[in-house]
Amino acid sequence: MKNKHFIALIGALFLSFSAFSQNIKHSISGNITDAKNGEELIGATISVPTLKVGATTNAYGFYSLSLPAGSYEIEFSYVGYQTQKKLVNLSQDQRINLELVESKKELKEVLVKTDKINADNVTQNKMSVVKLDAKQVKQIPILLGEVDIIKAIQLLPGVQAAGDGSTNFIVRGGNIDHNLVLLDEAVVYNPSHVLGFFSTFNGDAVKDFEIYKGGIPAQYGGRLASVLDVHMKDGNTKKLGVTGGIGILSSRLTIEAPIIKDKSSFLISGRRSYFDVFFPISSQLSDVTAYFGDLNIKLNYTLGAKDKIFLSGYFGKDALGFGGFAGFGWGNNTGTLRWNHVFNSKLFLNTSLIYSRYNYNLDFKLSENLNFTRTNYIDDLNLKVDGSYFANANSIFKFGMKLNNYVFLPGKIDKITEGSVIDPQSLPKKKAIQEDFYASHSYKFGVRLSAEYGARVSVFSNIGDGRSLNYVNGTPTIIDNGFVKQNAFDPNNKYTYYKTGEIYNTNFGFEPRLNLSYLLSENSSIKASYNRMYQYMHLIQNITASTGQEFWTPTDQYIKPQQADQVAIGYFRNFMDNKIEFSVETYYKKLKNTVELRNGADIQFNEAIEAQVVAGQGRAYGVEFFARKQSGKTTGWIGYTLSKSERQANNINNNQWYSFRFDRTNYFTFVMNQQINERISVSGNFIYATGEAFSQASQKYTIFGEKNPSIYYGVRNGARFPAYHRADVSVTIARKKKPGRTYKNESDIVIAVYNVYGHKNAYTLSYSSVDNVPIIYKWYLFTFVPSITYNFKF
Amino acid sequence: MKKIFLNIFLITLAFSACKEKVTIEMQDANPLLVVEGELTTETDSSFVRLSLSSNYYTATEPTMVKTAQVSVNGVPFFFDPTKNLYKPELGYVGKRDSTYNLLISYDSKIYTSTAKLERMFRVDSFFQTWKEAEGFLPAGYSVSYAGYDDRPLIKYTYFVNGKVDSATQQDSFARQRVLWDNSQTPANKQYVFEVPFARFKSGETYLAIFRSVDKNMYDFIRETNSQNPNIPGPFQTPPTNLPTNITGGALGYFATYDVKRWRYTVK
Repeated sequence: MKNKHFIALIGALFLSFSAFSQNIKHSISGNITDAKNGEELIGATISVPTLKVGATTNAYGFYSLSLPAGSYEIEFSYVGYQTQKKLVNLSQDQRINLELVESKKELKEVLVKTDKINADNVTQNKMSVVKLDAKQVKQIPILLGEVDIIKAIQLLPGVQAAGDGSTNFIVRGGNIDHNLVLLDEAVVYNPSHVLGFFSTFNGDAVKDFEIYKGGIPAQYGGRLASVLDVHMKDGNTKKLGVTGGIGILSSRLTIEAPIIKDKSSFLISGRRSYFDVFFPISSQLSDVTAYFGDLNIKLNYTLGAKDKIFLSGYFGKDALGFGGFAGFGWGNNTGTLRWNHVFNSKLFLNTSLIYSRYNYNLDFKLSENLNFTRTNYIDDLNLKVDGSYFANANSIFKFGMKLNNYVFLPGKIDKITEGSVIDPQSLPKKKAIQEDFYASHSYKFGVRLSAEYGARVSVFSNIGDGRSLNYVNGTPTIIDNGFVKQNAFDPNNKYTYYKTGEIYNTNFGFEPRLNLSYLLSENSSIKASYNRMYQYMHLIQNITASTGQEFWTPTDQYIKPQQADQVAIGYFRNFMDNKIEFSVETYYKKLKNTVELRNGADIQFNEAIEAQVVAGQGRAYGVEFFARKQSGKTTGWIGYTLSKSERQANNINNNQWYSFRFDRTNYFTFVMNQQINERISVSGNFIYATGEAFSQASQKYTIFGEKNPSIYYGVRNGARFPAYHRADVSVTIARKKKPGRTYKNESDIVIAVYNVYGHKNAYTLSYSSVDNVPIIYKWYLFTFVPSITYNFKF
Repeated sequence: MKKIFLNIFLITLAFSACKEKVTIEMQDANPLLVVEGELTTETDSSFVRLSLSSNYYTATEPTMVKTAQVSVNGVPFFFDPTKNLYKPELGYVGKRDSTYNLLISYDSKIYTSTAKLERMFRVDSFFQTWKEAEGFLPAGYSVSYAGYDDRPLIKYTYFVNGKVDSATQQDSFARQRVLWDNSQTPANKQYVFEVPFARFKSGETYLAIFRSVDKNMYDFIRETNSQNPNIPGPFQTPPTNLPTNITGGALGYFATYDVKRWRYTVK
């Protein structure tokens, strides 16, 4: 039935294609790049004001716009860059590659005033999407001076941090693992360093990123809540560039240069922390080792006018050790080989071969005869093809497919020393393949109404070799005296074994997507979207910090795919000649088959992982206000979210709905950057959020000689942490320059204070007692944390 | 594992953590019957203690329940006011590989429970080895035992260990307990197990108490170990009520143990 839907959709798209292609005249197409370094500009706008039509560059910097024959003044623009106008006499297909110049260079002449600012916020048929570039992120004061894109997105409405200082994030009531985090198209399974306080993204290696909170286009799939699509810089094709920074916790260095000018370049960017050198100062931490490091590399080569290849990689590592008796670590490694091919001015194709590995380990060395090391990993290899057909100025088709091969190692135990009594053993690998196909069509019905409709079909199959556990009555869990417990294994047939390549379980997902926008005026529009998402990979996690000990497990015959349906509607309005963007969006999201840990779940080295979880459901709804100014001396945004997020699962909370842990009723953010003069800029941000939900102790009792009383909890997540709020400020002081003199080097110093007024935000709460009466303490981490970072560029 | 996360938590907090008293709106609930039952292979050690839970935020001592009717497999347990316990007649001893059914009648309600008394594995001997300082552990003697397990996989053991600080035998050492199953120790051959996280000096006496438990009790103890009064932060598990094998809406547990005790004095 679902396949019939997809065939019908393809048919409709084909008919649309046939109809619209009748009107094709001529096309202009090409790439828009940064004049300074040759970087492709993603989302740059190409518009023809007289016809009120336009296009934007895609994720690879390519655009195509079909127009009737004639002469046109075409505008090329991009936020933060000078708009260029070009007179084009269109009598045949033309390729126009253009370089845009940063506006910042001309700040003194106040050229910003003459720059026309696009009304993309209003006119583009996109909602619930925010795009930021690395420059904007660098202006935001961040904990301990580390430029961090995930910390930046946590200041957007609808996105929130999973804790003070944490890089885990929650989008519109989703779980931590409901976010698809992509780095140059490769999935990053754990985008965290150092227990989640820092993200894996090196600000110097990142070009820009978009986060989709809803209205997710058909080319994305695999996660329920959001897509964070991060693009690495391609590498400077014009000249050698070196950037770097020396901070309190880490230093970083990036080198990029042309291999063949304007044709090929490379980028290599590394970062290493060194805060563990301070640990010996503390007696408590003297035996602790902790560090992270990461390396980004990228090569690109332009084969000709129609072909370009890219090779990019990320290699990250985290390690924590405790006095030689225990330690753990994790690392993400990704690699992307990408080929862009322009068949003609209308048809663009990207083909990517992507590899991603997330590995994590745990070492215990209690003694010479009691020790072990446990390793886990996920291998994700996929081939992906994305195509765009620019039929005419009003009609764009997108299509593609993705083939994934997954290998999970749920756990492998080896001795550290020969004398260990622990027997080496390994849980059987789990293997799966996934095929995704999508097609979508964007069409403008006149000048006001735009629609993008499409669908994605996903097919997820578990394959051999391998085995699965069998349970009595075929169910991994049972209800015993009101508690969910693991069921007994089938005594006659504990395992079912599968041969290599044997498909033993398949799930399908039909994921319709729709975006609509209606232009009310030149500066206002209403938009609506609907998306259905399926998620076949599940994070089994009993804590929310990123310790690298989280377990990913695939959908199988027991764990069903998670599903989300979201509808959203919004009003978009620009003010002051588009200098100020405003939007208000409301959404409703329904979650199905969410993976919830059952009480007493044992997820460590446990093959019966399906017996540790139960399927739940969720719902989230809210309204988000967002106002942003991206140009001029004063930039920033204000965001406010009013929302509710709930969960329900059988035999949890008496089967009643309860607040999701990260349900925050109010979430307010304010971000501002003020350019004082050419040298100095001041930035600040403020955040206020309702405290996170928690289950409060209700009754106490003591049994079996316990020193501390056991706790009986009342309503699950029925109480709240104190409200969270803080303000951060920073001052960036650039190197002093003499008038009329040209400088090859640039440098600046960033002085920042995180939580400037020292509010004691609860990181966690604990009970203690005075005269046998429990009292509640809040533990807080970061109050008034100053930092200083020296950045250089030449 | 728990110690690791505790260390992580400490490190995290050590960056700049402090604490401060806060006031949070409290919730209340009705008291529930709490059952604490032990039936063991040691003579006259079996008992059932009944009480009512109390408001978490008060200093009140638990109210003992003295008027219930209690029996196990039809054998009555009588209330002993001197110990606030329900106990069977003298000479009572649990039998290995037997199933026991607890029946409690209180306040016009019936509470029941079933548990199997699993067999313990064999412990043959204890010995000591000098160890240099290692990690967080100081130099000292480590204590190991030689064991032999011929039980079918998977069986569970609850192991309490600690130093004896007086001549009187103790069998309760808060937090000094280890819980494991025998899926990762050798079967049908003698093996040596070093007592973790402990170094001893000459003259100190080490006491080990092994209890075999069934899977339900194993899960219960594990949950009890992980339930702590800290409200979940990033390094703690979501709070959950402890499981119980008592039907009828009571809290607590009815446990059955095959018990083995060892005393070892470091020479």
